[in-house]
Amino acid sequence: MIAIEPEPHAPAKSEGKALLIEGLSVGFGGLLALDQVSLTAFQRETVGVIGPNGAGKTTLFNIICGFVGADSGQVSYGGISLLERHHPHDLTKLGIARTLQGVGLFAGLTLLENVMAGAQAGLRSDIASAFLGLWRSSREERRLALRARELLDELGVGAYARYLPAALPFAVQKSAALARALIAEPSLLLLDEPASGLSNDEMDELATMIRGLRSRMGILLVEHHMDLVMSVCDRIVVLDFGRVIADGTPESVRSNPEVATAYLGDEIDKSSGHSQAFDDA
Amino acid sequence: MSLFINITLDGVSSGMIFAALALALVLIFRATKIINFAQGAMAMMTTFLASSLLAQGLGYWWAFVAALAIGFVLGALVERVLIRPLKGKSELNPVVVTIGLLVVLEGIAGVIYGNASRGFPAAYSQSGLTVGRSKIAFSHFDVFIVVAVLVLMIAILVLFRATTLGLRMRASAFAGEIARLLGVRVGMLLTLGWALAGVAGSLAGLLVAPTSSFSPYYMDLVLVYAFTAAVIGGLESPVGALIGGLITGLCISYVGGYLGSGLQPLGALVLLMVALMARPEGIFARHSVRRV
Repeated sequence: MIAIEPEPHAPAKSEGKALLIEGLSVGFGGLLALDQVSLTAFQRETVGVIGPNGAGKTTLFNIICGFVGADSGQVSYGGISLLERHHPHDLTKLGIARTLQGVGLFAGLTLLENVMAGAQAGLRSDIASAFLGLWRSSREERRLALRARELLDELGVGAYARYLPAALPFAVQKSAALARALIAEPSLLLLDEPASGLSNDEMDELATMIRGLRSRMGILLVEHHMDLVMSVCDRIVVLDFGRVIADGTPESVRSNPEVATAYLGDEIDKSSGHSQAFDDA
Repeated sequence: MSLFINITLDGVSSGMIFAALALALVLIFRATKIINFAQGAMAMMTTFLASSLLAQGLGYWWAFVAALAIGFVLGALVERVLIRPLKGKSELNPVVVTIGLLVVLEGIAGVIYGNASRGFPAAYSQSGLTVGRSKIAFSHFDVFIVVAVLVLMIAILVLFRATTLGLRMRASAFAGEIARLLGVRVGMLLTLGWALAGVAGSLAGLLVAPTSSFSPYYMDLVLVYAFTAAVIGGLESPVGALIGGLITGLCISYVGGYLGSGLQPLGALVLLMVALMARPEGIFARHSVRRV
């Protein structure tokens, strides 16, 4: 007989949970995708991770999520290692939610169902309620649907709740994907290129949204759009060829010559001196 | 005219049985993109176990429920032990493994029970109902077949449509990796899908046994018909399986009634070809299918 567990109610996340990454390295074949990367994201801090294509940003996310293993180094959240015996499906239990590059909604589910699918999964209570009491299950279902609807409304796309994703504008889909991450009530939100494919106006809305979330959770933001990163982040970490070349406030990163080198290439390289640029990374 | 009506009624009841086995195929295909060629043999096994329980003096309904429960466990076991290790390997591997399982199960049943056909009791009388003054080719047992399969269908639909468990099963079927990222234990849900398919298959096995020559091979042809039904229904939709099952049952029945029963398997294959030529994605268009 399956015991009915009390619904794992997302607790008020304890203060001071931090994502700590130390000396993280991973290689694919001969290529070192991440080389001794260290970074920290404290609770209620928005940290941007930027860098040219291939700098290792997405690999970093994939390691945090458990999709890719690390060769060496430490990754922990709230004191719990994310590298040992860690499965992607444990992530939400630790309070971590992630949005994907592109959209990644379930094509055959409506926006509302997509968001509902993102809620904290308690499999045992799920099975118990589905098989032992449809009454309880449908009540649970209604509560979840209500919460999902609230989130969609909050992100301004509630009107599309009953539509399948494919029929909807890209920005709407992206908002739904964000709502799906938020319904798990994460204490750390990983945003993988949330601005790609958005217009300038939509990007402004996104920035407002991210700033609104800042008081509730830590955010790790991988993004190409400099304006967005500069405007919403408390701190910015710059990756280049898998190494951290800068870590500081938006102002300090903006004025960092190495960052300019990484982004603009050789012209500055020659004048500022390549070897020096990499020695103090 | 009465011949036509009787053939039609016969087609409906066998169509419902095909629908149950087609539902089993659909449950597995939508979650894992695997056709379980051993589904019929698994149903054969559970029905033979039920017949053993009956021989021990157990009541019919206890044996009936036991067969469904064993089907559940057998389905889960096959997924865990045989199918899961194939993840990420060639698409041909599950085909070979499930056909292998079919052969092994039929072999085991042959060793234990012998290859001769025997009898299996029906839940209700198999003599035709009387409507007005004439007897029709639709018995109490046929009524039971229709009701039992409809109950199963509705239970599965409620599970998928009205529970969070079903929502997560659907989400996992669409994109497993993303579902995993959202905290869904996709592996457990795959096992559950196979287990539910085991139940649906077992039901089909129990319903076919009284009306056929009950031997280790009695489900082989039923699997061919159920496969036809599942493909017609689009392979991913429980409702498609039901309608595909009815279409297949009726066609087979008309072929058997007007052309001769020897032509029935051929009729199913012709139907399969015509359906694939007319609508390769199944009668249910992709979107309506996926929303079920």
